[in-house]
Amino acid sequence: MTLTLSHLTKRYGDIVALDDLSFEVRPGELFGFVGSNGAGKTTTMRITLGVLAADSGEVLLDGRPVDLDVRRTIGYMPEERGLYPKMKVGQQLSYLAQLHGLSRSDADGAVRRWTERLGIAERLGDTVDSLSLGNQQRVQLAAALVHDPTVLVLDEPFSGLDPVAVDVMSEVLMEKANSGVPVVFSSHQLDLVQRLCHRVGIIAKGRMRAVGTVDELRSGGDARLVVHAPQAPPDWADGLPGVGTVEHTDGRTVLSVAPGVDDQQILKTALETGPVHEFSLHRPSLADLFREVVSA
Amino acid sequence: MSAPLTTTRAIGLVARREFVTQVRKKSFVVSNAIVLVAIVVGIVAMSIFGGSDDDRPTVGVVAAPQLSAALGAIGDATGMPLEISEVPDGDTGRAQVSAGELDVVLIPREPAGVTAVTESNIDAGLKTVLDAAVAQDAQSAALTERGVDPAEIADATARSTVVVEAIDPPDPEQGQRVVLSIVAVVLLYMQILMFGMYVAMGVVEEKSSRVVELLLSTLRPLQLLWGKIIGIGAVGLLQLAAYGVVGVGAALATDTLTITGTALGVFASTLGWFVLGFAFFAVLYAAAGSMVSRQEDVNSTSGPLMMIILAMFFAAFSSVDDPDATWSTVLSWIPPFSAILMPLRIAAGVASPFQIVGTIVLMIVVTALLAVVAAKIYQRSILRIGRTVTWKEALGR
Repeated sequence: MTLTLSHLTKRYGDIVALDDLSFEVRPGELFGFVGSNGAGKTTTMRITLGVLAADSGEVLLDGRPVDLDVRRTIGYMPEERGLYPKMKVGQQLSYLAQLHGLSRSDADGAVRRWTERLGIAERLGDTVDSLSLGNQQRVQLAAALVHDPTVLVLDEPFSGLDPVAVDVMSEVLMEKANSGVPVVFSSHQLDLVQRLCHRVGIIAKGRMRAVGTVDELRSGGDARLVVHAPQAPPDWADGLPGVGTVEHTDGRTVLSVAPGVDDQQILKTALETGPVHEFSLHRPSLADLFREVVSA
Repeated sequence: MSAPLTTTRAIGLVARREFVTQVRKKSFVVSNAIVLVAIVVGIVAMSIFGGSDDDRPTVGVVAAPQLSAALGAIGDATGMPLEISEVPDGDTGRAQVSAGELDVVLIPREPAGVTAVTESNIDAGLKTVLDAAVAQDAQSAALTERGVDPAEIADATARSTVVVEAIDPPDPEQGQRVVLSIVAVVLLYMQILMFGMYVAMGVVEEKSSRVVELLLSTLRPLQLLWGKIIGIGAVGLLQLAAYGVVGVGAALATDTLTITGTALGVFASTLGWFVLGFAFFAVLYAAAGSMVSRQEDVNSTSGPLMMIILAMFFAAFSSVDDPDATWSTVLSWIPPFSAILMPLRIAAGVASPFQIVGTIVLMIVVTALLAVVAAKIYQRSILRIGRTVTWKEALGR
């Protein structure tokens, strides 16, 4: 299954929430969706689930428009967590699974399996509002998983989780991806996204600013090069194409290096000024890239 | 594992959840048990104390068996049956009157007539009976003295009676019909108001807990809306049926009600009109619920609905006395007033089959139209979290 979002546009009055947004999530891929608050992540996910209607553009699964029957096969975790507070965990999950099209007995089996997996099996008979916040989150994840979804769309699944729950969540997401399910989730925890995701999309002001693997994105941004050449003048690197001087103090120069620039050429130039004690290249982190994209 | 979900199954799933959640509530079970017990106890108590002979005037007669007989006969004939007892002498009689055991004691006076001793004064009707009895007694005594056979006199008086021929005879079932109408009106009012409110609160609960977003990713808004209305309505119908079965059953068993056919007809029409009246208001209550984000705000949008239901209730109550009045007949055609006025008219026995069918069809048509509008409001408002949506905004384009 490949989930494709194609040229989505959504306006709220004069505010453009999504502006010609497109990306796709391939089978078995963990796709990280990052952006500032209000960038349009939640709107995108709501449109994917049909909870909101787009002004234009469409959502496709394997090339076919997503209708209600297809949508029922998607696992969804809304940003605004929501369950019936006074309903028992077991009944609630079984009910939701049946709404996704499972028979009663299949639903009950799936509830048992997933609550055991997520460590909330002994809470089946408790009402949701009697659970701790962390356990409520686990129930919410179980609700997204009980019907064995063919696609997973999770809005901020890691927010509010304790470190143990983060590990469980990561494990489950990777396992789902490994079984061939396209998984897309949004998060503000960029280190986590960098660690888990095969590909990442950065959204700002309703537009997709960058999409690619973390490595592609990192190599796409300007790298930082630290050169310690005590005898070099402050402007030693200025003549080099694609290279800019960020700062120069006590013979230590920080350069920004555009993608594709030959770093050996820079080293040769540095050596021409005298000895070089340090020469280290720093790829930008996802957080650096994010700041760069968002401020652009 | 997911499979396509038919609309029937989707609505059925939602309805079943609503039904089960509602009937499993401890408060629901307890309050209904109390109400049912109260109905039985109330009806049994009414049959014991209500229909007894306690209100018959008690008359004591001192040493005049003929007068006693005349009193009994005239009392029965004039529709004022008396409790007559023999009293040995005047003093005993006076004592019994002051003790409140007797209303009146009749003591023969010399040479003729009687003295009626009473606490303070005698009811005018009773006085007439007493006068007539004493006069008849004196007449019989005089005639007997002149040699007329007492049996002949008795025969003559018995035959000379007034036969009433009424052009518009009163309905002997009138009293029971009025009681049935009032019960039907009160029950319908309470059930529609209460279960309409449950629908609104259920919608707000889903909205305020945000679970609605998860639900709407698997259900169409209309499936959710109708599932909820059907589920909650089924609970309301069940509760009403339970009240009816227990109430009518107890009343028939204790002979408090004697018009079995009418009672069952009223029962059935109350159930039927509950379904129609509830459906009418439930779609509106669902719309009202979808417009707010917090339980506390429900009253701000459901207030107008409550006003309408109250107006219906008062209209129904005003027409209990005279259900066939022109204004009440006209109003009973207009939805939603028909929902409460028609069962009343059926109970009163003034609804023609044509009117019954006509008002039902009209009510269904109006409810269907309203459901379309309400569903639009619901769809438009259900995901708007935050400020309360006004009716004007919800209905506007």
